[in-house]
Amino acid sequence: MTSAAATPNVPPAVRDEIIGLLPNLRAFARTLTRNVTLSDDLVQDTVVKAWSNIERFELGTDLRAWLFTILRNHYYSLRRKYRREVEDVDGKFSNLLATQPAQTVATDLLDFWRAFAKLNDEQREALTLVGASGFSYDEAAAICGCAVGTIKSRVNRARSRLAEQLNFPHQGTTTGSEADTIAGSRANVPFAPPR
Amino acid sequence: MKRNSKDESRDRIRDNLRRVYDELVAEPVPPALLDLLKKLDDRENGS
Repeated sequence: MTSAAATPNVPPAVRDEIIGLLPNLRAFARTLTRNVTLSDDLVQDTVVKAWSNIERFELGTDLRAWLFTILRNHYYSLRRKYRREVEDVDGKFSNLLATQPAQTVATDLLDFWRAFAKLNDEQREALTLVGASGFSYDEAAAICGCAVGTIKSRVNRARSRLAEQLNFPHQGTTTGSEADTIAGSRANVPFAPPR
Repeated sequence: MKRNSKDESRDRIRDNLRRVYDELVAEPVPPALLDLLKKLDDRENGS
């Protein structure tokens, strides 16, 4: 875990908000790693990083987006580090990530989960951020450090791949504006993380 | 407006994704994570 040697004061309201966002951070981490243990480690590291760098967070801005960005960047950092250290020649890390199912996903959703787990990282995160986590395309693009059009393209490709793998009726390609609807954006829905 | 197969596919993906995500969000937070926050609090307070 990341060291937390120097921890500046975290305002109580921010601390409480972090606690309230833990379920959402865990869900996002799970969709990235597809692994219970790794996702909890990722959330722990994210919390420690956030705590240690709280002075970089501007009060009044979106704490959720800030935490999701830290988590997402740390995930890719770990992936790069692991690949560099062990070269992952047999794809063991990738297999580990891909094979462990979610613990609580209902039986009738397992096929969907398996198909979702086969999407690449960029497609999974784009679909999750926009279609499930309630971020707008602009916010998702900021979190991922890419253009809005790139997010829309990733959502579109993710949806097409899922439809193919799940044998859902699916015809042709989709325009960027249609992708907005396809992702089922929750951006306009008031976000209320479980407390 | 008449719905087509693409609409149906879109809706099923959206619904499944939300159900999966909501189930993940509903999982109880492991005590270890909450303990971590307490430790960070304690460290901050010098205890």
